[in-house]
Amino acid sequence: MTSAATPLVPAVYYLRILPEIVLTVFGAVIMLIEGPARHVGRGRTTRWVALVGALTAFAAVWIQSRHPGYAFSHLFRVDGFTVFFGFLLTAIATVIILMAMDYLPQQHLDRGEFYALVLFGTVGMGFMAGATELILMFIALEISSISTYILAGYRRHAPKSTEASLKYLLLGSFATAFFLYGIALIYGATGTTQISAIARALAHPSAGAAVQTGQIVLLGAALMFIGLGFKVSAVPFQVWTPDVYEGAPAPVTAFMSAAPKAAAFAIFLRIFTVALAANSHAWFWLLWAAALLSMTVGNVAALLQNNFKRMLAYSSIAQAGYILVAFAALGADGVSAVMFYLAAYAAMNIGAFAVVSHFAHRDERYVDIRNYAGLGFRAPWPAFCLSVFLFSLIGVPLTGGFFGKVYIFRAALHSHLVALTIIGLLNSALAAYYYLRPVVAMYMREAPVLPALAPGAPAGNIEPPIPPTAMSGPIAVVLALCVAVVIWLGVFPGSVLAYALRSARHLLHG
Amino acid sequence: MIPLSFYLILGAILFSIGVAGFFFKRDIISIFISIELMLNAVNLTFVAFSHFWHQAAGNIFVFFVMVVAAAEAAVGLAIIIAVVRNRQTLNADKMDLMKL
Repeated sequence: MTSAATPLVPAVYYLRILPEIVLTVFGAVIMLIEGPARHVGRGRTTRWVALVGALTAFAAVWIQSRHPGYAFSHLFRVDGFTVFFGFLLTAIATVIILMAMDYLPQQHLDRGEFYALVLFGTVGMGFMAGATELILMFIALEISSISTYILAGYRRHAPKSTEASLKYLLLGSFATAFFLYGIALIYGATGTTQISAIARALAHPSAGAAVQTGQIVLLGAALMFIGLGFKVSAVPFQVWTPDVYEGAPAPVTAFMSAAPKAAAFAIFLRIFTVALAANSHAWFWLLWAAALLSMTVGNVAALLQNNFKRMLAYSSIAQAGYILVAFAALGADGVSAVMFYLAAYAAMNIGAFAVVSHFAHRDERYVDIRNYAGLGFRAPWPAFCLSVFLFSLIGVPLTGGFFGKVYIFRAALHSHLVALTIIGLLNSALAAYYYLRPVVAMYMREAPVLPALAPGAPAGNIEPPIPPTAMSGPIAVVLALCVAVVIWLGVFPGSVLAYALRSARHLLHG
Repeated sequence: MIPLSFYLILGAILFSIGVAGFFFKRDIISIFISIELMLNAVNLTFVAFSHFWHQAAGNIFVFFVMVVAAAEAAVGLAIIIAVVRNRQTLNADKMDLMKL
């Protein structure tokens, strides 16, 4: 029992989860004022509340970082790793809210719930980043997933969007059940669900000799690998990704491709490199195979796509493959390469989706790569930004994607993963083809002249060029921010990498 | 006394039935119920291990899982209603607007 002098829950515990508290409060406020706010200020109150909430949470991560340590009986830990992901996730949420300010009015979907769900999803992801207990990881994963299931179906009158939502829900909960079964088996083998306690129990296996501990742990690890493989869309668990990314509203696709994936990699790293570190020889080959398959399948399938969102979906599968290469490299080098790549990937991928979202128009009519013909001359600035993001996805020097790949393959070579490195480099060359297709369309193709048709009549086989689109303030800010981050990570990667390396050492050595 | 392994095997069988239902059922509601069966198989496993370790923790996890499953069911049924309104069918094979 705690004595009367020390309170049951020290105040510092609340400071350690401050970003999540801030996000929850702002999300709840949006839900409460949504009704009345629709009649005030042309219904634009909620989006500004959401933007302020996300920025406040970003600032709260800084306060959180001043109070490292465990909170709530070792459920949650603030360390460099948590803070790195905290900054990344709240920044992503801010950018997505800005994107939605442009997209939702364009689609006549401007409702406050969207912003609240983005904030609630970010709460779950923040807890995923810092959780040091398997059940909290499960609950956080579900908070983030349930919010994104709803967001994926946000265009609820569009059959494609609800279909995307349904597929995401069914396959997502299916994967979560595997993850949970894995947790149950690890709990059974070790008698605890705390990451550090599991690591201790597995390092000294005599403790739980009454059951067939070794085999149960391996089975549990494999089941958790399946569950998390679904969440990061690694092959062979990627089937849902193209459909969900194509059907979901473009800002939601941007959100799903960056934030839940980063948070899922955070728990992936914490479970496998800390809790199950003693068994790394057993699960290493799972990672190796998933990395190889994700890179190859993602890149080959992306070659065949005409839909821009679907192409980026396959590209994100391939990018998950590169990240798994760094993961398989293990050690502080590998973990920091994962973290650096996730940051660079978030900036370039969200940027690319922001351009797609901006030009999508009502009911997402213009999402085919052929729609982009001649866009470089009609909309020079967005086209330039899109080119920067695509060059970064290829890994051209002076962009964040270049250093991301350099760190990944350097870490892989240090760990003697020569075959994986060679296949990764070949894949990067292959990927250049499909990333350059939109660039070629924008700058080297003429916009097709449409035959005169009655308005609304189908244009036959010709994909119509995107009509002139006025640039709104929020989307300009998003593009400027993403370009700035991509270039900054490509020119001065040192400080972010050094921070990631320090955080990785925190993670691995307590 | 019934040994631990009996509970674990029952849990594994229930989980496998859930997985099989997920793959072979064509009705969205049945697929959804299969997922719930998988979660409940895990709950059984938690309770069995909790008894084995003489801890209360495993039993408490079951409550968390049940709450999460309820939240998921609420959202899931709402999504299913939205889908049915769009296309008047519950057949999973008809969900093919986008090719896999």
